[in-house]
Amino acid sequence: MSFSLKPARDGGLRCMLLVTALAALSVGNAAAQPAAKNTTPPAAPAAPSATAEAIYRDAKPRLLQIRTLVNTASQKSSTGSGFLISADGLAITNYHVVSQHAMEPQTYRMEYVSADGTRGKLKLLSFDVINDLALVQLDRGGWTYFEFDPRAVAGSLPRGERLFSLGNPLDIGFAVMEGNYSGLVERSYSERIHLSGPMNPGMSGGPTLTAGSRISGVNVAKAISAEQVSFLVPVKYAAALLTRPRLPEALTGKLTRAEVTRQLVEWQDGLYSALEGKGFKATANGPYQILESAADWFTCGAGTNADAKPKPRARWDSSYCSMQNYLFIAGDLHTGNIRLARAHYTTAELNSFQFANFISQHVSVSSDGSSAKRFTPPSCHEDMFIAGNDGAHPRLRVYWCASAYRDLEGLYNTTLLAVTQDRNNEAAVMTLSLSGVSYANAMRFAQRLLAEIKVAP
Amino acid sequence: MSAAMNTQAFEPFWVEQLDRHGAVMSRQRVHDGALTVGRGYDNDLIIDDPYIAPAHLRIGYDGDGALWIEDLVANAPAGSDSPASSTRMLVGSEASIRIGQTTLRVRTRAFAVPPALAMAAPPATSFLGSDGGRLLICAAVVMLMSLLSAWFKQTGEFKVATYLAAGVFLPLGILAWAGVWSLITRIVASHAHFLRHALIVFAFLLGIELIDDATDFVAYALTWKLPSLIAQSAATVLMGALIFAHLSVVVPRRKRIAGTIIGVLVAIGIGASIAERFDTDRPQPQRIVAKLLPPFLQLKQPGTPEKFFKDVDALKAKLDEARKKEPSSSVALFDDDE
Repeated sequence: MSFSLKPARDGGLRCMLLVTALAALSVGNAAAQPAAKNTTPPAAPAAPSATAEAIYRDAKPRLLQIRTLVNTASQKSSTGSGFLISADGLAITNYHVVSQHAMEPQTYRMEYVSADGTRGKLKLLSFDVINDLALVQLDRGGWTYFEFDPRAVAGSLPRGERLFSLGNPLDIGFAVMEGNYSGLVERSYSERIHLSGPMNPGMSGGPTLTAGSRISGVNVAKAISAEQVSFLVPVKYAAALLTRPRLPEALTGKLTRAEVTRQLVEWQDGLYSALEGKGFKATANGPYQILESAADWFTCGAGTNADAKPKPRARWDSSYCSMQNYLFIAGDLHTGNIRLARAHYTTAELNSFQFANFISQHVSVSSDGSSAKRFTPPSCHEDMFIAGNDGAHPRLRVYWCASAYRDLEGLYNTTLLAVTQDRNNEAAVMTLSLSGVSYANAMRFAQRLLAEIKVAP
Repeated sequence: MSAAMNTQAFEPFWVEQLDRHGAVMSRQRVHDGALTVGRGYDNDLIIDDPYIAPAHLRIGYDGDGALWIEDLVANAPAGSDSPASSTRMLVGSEASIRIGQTTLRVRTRAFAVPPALAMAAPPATSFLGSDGGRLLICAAVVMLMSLLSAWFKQTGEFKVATYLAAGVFLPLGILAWAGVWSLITRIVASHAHFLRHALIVFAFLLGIELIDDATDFVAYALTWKLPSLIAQSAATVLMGALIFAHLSVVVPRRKRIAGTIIGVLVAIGIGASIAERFDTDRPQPQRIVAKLLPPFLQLKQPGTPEKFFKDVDALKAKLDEARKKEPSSSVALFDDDE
């Protein structure tokens, strides 16, 4: 359930595709590689392609393909990549690569395939939902492994440094792809490395290495609407994962769900207090003042019907800001997004009934993501109030709907709609949609915004 | 009556031919004391009914002056040994007999007709009292409401089609509906009662429209949402009333049966929606947002943010309760392995 205002489409840059390959994806037979292989060792300073060749040769035995299988069918359900970080078989991959097993350990199991084709069982040791990482244990030891790059852990890689992403794209064989370090993604609450290079489904959880064959980040996603814009999880989070308490031997869905919930609750507490810390700024919407967040973690856009033909009989101007954290919980469950929109309506031609209808038409009520499996049915409340009798606060009509996550106790999706009710030919509307938020945080955020809706006398 | 008439040998009587519903199709006065009925052309009354014998009945006075209907066919079968087996029926002031597919009724002058009915209302004295007057008023109100609602919804350019739909096609549809009922009435009874049927359907639409508008108004003005179950039940009752009203025009004598059947159907309909509401906990269709109306229609005094968020906070317990329940579609969630 959510309220939204036109235009409802978000900007495309932050739309990310996680690079896991679903088993259903078919790519036909891989074309044979040209056999012209340079057998001489790389000379220093190496040409980039020669470096890639050395890195590939060096890295291959430390790489893994990680598969999720349906227990009963023994058919793979999805594939991703992973890499070894200790001789006794500790490996790192993405949480979203192992999420099916994590959420439903009785239905899905995991296996690895190493570069030489050997297979074995995997055990989930711990995970970090917020940074999309998981630590797994292989069923045997005696491996060669990667080390973390200390410069990358410290976050001091120079922009433009050449990096090499490895993994098993589309389940057709291990591959290396070159890209450049472009710093951290700007204007983002969650920390991700912006890699200017290719990334393909199946490479999720694979490593991105420096020229010295050390880990600089973990492959996680790419931008859909752009070329060669890929995202890595900074390596410091992978290092931190090693120090987390381990999950118990006998893994149950209830237990992992509780851990996912714990991490999400902690994360959103941090997010909402950070938002509060950043403060708000007032925006003018005709005579009305509505707050928006001063934090720069939002993607914003605006729309109007001022240039519509034939000339509209009432005018709307709207703008929205959304924060697409898009935390992956399960294939059909993402959370963590914030969307704040406002609009101003005015008319000289419509009568008050027509104008009320005009506003209603502009507000859409959608039931997005409210699958009965994941969410309770929404509960709604509607009332009107005035935040203060000082003449600066307009009468408001306010709607609130919330639904609870069935599997994540204490987290909710909430949506708020406030319409000013002090004039017959002019109005402002504010909507706020929060996903994966505690009830207290959602109420505090909404209270803050509603208290500051003001009108110039 | 003149004395000469009294001395006549035979009192005249009437033979009437009835249709299936008991209405008189033809009536024949018999002066000379006797009448024969049959398919043959030697009869006084000839009926083209293939199930009637060439000479079928004789209706007449016997020597004692009693009027009898005599079945000549029952009399006829070969081997019937006695004329006593003939079927005779004494006619008092009235008797009816069915032969073949035809019903005949015999009445003498002694048959007493009931007194004249008083006129239900002085005809056309009051405009409101007549079907036509009521229909005009009702239709005008419905049309006005529908045109007004089209006008209130018009937030863009004027479109003729919108108003045509409200002002022309809606009434045409209603008249077509009333026409179908009139046709049924004309077939079953003798009158079409078109105005009555049109009045009924306009009154029904008025009721539906009023329920709808009242719901919207109360939801907006008082922020009180009429539970959808009540609105739905009211619509069901109105629907039942519509059908009942039509039927009581078609078969006025079977009002009670029609009423009972429709009452039972309405009760079943309402019962089913109640059962559905309480049997499952799937998301109920509800109007999440009241339709916005002009601010001056808000009757309730605005509250405070504190009150609003107190109510919002109360929803949390409801959601947490709902979370514990399985979703109704019996989707297997994560297998709980404890």
